[in-house]
Order: sequence, then C-alpha cells, then structure tokens
Amino acid sequence: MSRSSRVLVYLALTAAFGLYSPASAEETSAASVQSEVQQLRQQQEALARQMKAIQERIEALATRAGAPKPTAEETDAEALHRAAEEAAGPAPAQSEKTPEEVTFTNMNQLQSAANPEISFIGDMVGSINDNEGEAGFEPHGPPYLKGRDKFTLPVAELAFQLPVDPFCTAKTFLHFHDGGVEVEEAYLDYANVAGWNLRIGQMRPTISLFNRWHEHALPQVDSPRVYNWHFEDGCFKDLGVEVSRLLPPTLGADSNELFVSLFNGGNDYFLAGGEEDRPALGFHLNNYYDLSDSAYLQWGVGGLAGYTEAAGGNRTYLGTLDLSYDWSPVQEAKYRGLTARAELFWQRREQSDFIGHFKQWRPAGLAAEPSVTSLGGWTYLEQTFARNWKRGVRFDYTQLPDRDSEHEWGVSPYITWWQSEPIRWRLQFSHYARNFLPDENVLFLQLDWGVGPHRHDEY
Amino acid sequence: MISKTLALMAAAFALGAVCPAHAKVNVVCSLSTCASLAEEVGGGKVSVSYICKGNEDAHFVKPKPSYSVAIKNADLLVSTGLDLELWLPSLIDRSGNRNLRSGQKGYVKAAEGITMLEKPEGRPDRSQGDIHIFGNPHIQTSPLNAKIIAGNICIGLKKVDSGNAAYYEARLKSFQNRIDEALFGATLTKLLGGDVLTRLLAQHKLHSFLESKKLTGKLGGWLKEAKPLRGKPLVGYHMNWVYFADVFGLNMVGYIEPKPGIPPTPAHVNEVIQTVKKYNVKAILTANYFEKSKPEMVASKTGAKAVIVPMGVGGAPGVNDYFDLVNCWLKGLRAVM
Repeated sequence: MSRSSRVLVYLALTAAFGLYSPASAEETSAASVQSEVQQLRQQQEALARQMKAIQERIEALATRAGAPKPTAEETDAEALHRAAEEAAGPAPAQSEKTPEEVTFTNMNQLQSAANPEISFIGDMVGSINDNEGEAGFEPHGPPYLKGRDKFTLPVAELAFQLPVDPFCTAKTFLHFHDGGVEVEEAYLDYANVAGWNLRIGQMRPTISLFNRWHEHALPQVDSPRVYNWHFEDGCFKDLGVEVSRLLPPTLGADSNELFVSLFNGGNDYFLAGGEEDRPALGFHLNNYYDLSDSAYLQWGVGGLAGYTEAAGGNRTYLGTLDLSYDWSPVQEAKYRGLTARAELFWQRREQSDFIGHFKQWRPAGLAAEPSVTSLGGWTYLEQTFARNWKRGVRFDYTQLPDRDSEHEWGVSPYITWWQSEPIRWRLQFSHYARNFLPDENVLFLQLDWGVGPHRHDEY
Repeated sequence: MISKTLALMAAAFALGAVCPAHAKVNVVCSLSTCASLAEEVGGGKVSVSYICKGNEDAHFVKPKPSYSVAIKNADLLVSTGLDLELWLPSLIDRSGNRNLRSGQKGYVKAAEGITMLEKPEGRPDRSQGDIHIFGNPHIQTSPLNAKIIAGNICIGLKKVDSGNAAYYEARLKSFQNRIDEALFGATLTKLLGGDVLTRLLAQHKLHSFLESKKLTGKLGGWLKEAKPLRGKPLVGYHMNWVYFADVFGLNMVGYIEPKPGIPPTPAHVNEVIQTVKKYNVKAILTANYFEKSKPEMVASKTGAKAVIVPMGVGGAPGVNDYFDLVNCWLKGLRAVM
C-alpha cells in the first residue's frame, strides 16, 4: 500500500467514527457501563449463593457419611501432602496386568535360556603306593588304583544342562581321561509323565546308594571297594530308561521314593547284554525319616538282575541294602555335624567261565565255579568339626564276585578341607589287606575343583 | 432306583474328589520369612510350610526327600527367584510337580519388582567369592521389600485361588498398612500416606524432606527407633544386611568374611579389628547361624559388641512374625549403639 493510499484509509475511518459518535456520547457510555457492572455484580452474588449452597450440601453429605469437617490444619496437611508428592516424584507406573497375566520367572534358570549351562569339574589325585608293580592285577577303574606313584586326572568332567522343551531337560556329562573321551551320562529328564519322573538315555541307574554319585561328589577319594570290584569304573552305567516317583508315605516314613530301570545289561565286568538282546532290570526303594529338624535316618533296598553271558541262561543277581544317618544341627550346620552310612552288597553270579576282565587275569586252567554267591559292604563315619573341615574313616570288605573264597579288607581314614565352595582338598590313607594278592598301603592327595553352575546335591 | 442312587453317589464322590470343600491353598516357601508373609496375606485360606528355617543358612540347605514330598503336594511355591536357593530346582524336579516350576502358575518369585542392590559390576566370577550374579539376595531384611514380597505372594494366591482374590487383596492392604505404621509411625503415615513415604524412603529423600518441613518430630516406628543409628559405622559377618542398612541409614564399613562365603583368615580378622578401631564401630551384626567366636573375639579386642540375631522368622524364641524380626534386629543394635 502506498503512502497516499494509507492517508485516504485513515481519513475514511475517521469520518466513519465521526458519523457514529453523537454529541452526547460520553454521558451515554458511562450510564451503559454502570448498568453492565450492576448486572455483573448481581450475577456474581447469585453465583456466590449457589456456591455456598453447594458447599453446604457437600458438607451435609460429608457429615452424613461420617467424614470430619475440614479444618485449617487439614488444609495445611493437603498442602503438605502435595509437597511430599512433588518431592517423592511420580509414582511408578502400576501394572495393568491381571494376576493371571503376571508370570514370575526365576532368573536363576534364565542362565540357560540361550545356551546350555556348562560346567567343568577337575579331579586330580596324587598317590604313593608301597607295592608298586607288585599287585599284578589292574582292576578297571581310576588309574590311582593301579599301583603307581603318580599324579593323575581320573576325572575331568564337562557337564551340559539345558531345558529342551517344556517337558524335559537334557543333561550330558562327558569324561576326559587318558583313554580319550567317554559319555558318562547323557539323558533326557522328564518330570511327571503320568505321575512318574522319567529319565531316558545313558545313565547311572539308581540301584544302590552311591551308584548315581559322580566321583567328585564322593565323601572319599575313591568309590567303596565293593563298587570297584563289582562294576567297571566303580559304577554301573548303561543305556536304558528309568522311572521314579514319590510314593504315598508308607512304613512310617516321611518320604518313599521308588526307582525302576530297564537297561541293555552291558558291562564287561558284570553283565553281558551290551551287544545282545539280554536286558537287565534294576530298582531301588528309598525310605526317608525326619528324626528332627537336625537329623534324619534313611534306609534303602535295591538290586539288579541280568544275564552273565552272551548266550545261555546264566544270570547275575545283585541286591543292596543301605542305611544312612545324618545329624546337622540347623543353626550350626556349617561347623558341626555327623554322617554315618553303610551298605551291604549281595551278589549271585551264575557262570560257565570267568567273564570280561577277570578272564584275562585268572590263570589258565583255573576253572570257574558255576555259581558264586559273594558278599561285600562298606561303612563310613564322618564328622564336620569346623567350618569347611571334615574328617572320617571308611571300612571296606568285599569278596570277589567271581570267586567268593578271595576277599579284601580295607580301612581309609581321611580329612577334607574346602578352600572355598568350588575347591576341595583331601588327604587319605588306605590300607588294603587281601588273601589273594599282597597287602597294599596308599597315600592319596586329591584336589577337586568345579567351574560353572553344576554342583552335586548331597543330603 | 438303585442305579440312580449309585450314579448320584458316584457323581458326588467324583465332585468331592476334584473339588474338596473349603480346601486351603497349600503354600510352600523356601524361606521362613516368606512363609510368615504368606500367612499374613493368605490368612485362614492358606496352609503354609517352609524349608529353610530362620536360624539356617539359606545358601546351604540339604535337599532332603521330605521337602520334595511337601512340594509335590503344594499349590504355590515361593522362592526368592534369585541364585540363593540353588538346592531348590532338584527338589522341584524330584517332586514331579510341574505347576511349581519357573514360569508356571504356581510359582512366585518373591524378588519381582525389588530394586536389587550390590549387583556385580562387569563380569562376575568366583574371584569375588560366592557372589550372586543378580545382586544381593537377602532382600527380606528391608521392610519396604517385605511389602513387595507380600504383594507378589498375593498375586500368586490370586492366580491359584481366584475366588478369594478380594480376601487376599484386603489382607495385603492391611499388612502393608501395618508395615507402614510400624516403619514410619502411625501419625506420619496418616499425615502423608504410606505410598508417598515409601517412595521418599526408597529414594533416600525422607529425612531431608521431613527436616525441610519441620516434621521430623512426627516420625515414629522403626525409623524413629533407628534414628540414633543413622550414619553410624557397622561391621557384619556376611553381606546379609545391605537392604537393612539401606533403609535405616547404617554405614557398613566391613565384614568378618574377607569375601562372601570365604571363611575369615587370621590376617583378615586382624584387618577387621583395625577397621573397627578406626571407625569406632560399636556393633558387629551377625546372623546366628555363623560362629560366635570370631565376632566375639573382634569385640573383645575393640570394645565393640557382637549382636547375634536370627536372619529369618522363627530363628530365635519370640520371633514369630516379620514385625518381631525387625524389632529383634533393631533392639539388638540399639542395645549397644
């Protein structure tokens, strides 16, 4: 817009105002304003009356509902509350989920969400033997039982564990040793299949007190002697299936647990079904009694039956009977305690000849008895006498499973110290007296360590 | 007629078998303190048992078969959900009760929603002792956490017994109010409300706020009782007390264990003695399942006092619920500080 145009517009507006402004405009305007003010004042008074009426009504309702009349002090409290709210900051957002939608997840088990839990356990044993090379017989089992002065690593265990699906968990334990790598156990563990827990794969079946215990969890350096003479590697393991369940309490016990297993029945030292259609059947019934919060008693009966040889009807029957007592005063369990365990082995072997490793060892021409009934057993007493310190002694007796006239006695005092939860040192002296080989004295030093989450539960 | 009667009886038997009248919800807790909180929330509708006793070390519980029987028969299992009760999974496996496994309807993780303290920095390993990779699991030593744990238990109960949801909610609210009054005092709780006070305390703003508003005189309950302890140095045996110290403002300056779970060595005990002297520590707070000799020995050489207390409900005579437990801890400390 040009300057001349703006002047013209200004003039036009001035003229227009002039046309609409009468001479008495000031007087008229004052009267109008007064009137409006009067109206507004009336409206305000009306609103105040309404407000008062509403307030009285609210107070009447509150009085009827039992609420106290607001006071000046409470008005202060409201201000205080607002200040506190501001200082506290916003309330954390409340979950909109219903209880059914809330899921509690144990973070302890989330470790294995993406990868298996992996653990390594090393078990090194140094031994000094007084009749090195004289024994003439190397039983199957850990190298420290083979009469040599040396350090060995009988168990280097790699353990994997992972839930496979909502129904089962895979557990695998590989053992590395001088002879290579061996699958110690590899099985799927199902919980509650028609009321039974199910384990299927290669495993140590529950047929006795210690058969399921891995070497690194044993209370002494070695398995009880009866295990070493009866089973290969100090335990019986095989491919098969095992079911177990907690039974309704019977025999006055607080817990009865039954294990039943069916296996190939293959074990060079013991049974002959590995390559044949000759299965073995095992079981164990565990009966547990809480004597008090600090003490329990447990007894169990178990066994195994299978074919001794690859052909023919000869069979081997094994029966076990075990008893355990434990006293760990609740409040002082880290410092004091006493454990006593004992187990009896009974075996009947029908044989047409010596089998497996025994056959290589027995002199040529020595005839095998067609039926051998042998006994064996062990017991130990162990005391917790300070934090992380235990001492004990184990007694062994066993007849040889293929010749009951030959037997061995043993006594093994020991002391164990946990450097920390995953590391354990043990010193053990063992004396073995035999009527078929020279006596033997062995001094063991064991160092056992674990890395990772796998640990052996013990009760 | 006879067949109808038999059919009726069979139906009644079947119904009775699946719907036991007025059956209580069977709750098993890993810790006695959680069991006490479950009783607070569940009232007469629940039957509660627990595994680890109040005077027992929760790290080292023997997984006895009788515990598996209890879990087998349970409707709800409550554990911290952290790496404290490492003995629990094998008990659950043995029980065959799949409803109580992690993630299932009958499992409650007590620590859900709790701000974890002492989470290891960097990659945790055993060079730091028996550390817990998700943070310090002794969550029950804070009354603020007790309210959260009770809330989680309430959720679990509502999941397995939805018909009594209102009952559990009402009891939860009542319990949380009682904790607030016990912690802050009735006057302050009425004035500002438990929720606001809880938030202020959790953020360590409560005392400064009360001072700024000249309301310190209205503080009551455990916090008033613990006021003389605020900022005071304290030595523990094991790292059990971090949540307790956080709420009540105590200053943990050392532990008799050199690292969590590692037994004290003579050299370390000597260091602790120097620490106690340096900071003029008055109390050595020890759970009663630890040896008394080391704390008492340190005390005798420094003039401090060993305060031996239970870690959980039921761990000492007279400690019958959570309120008794906190009272016991504070009374023990106040007697020597």
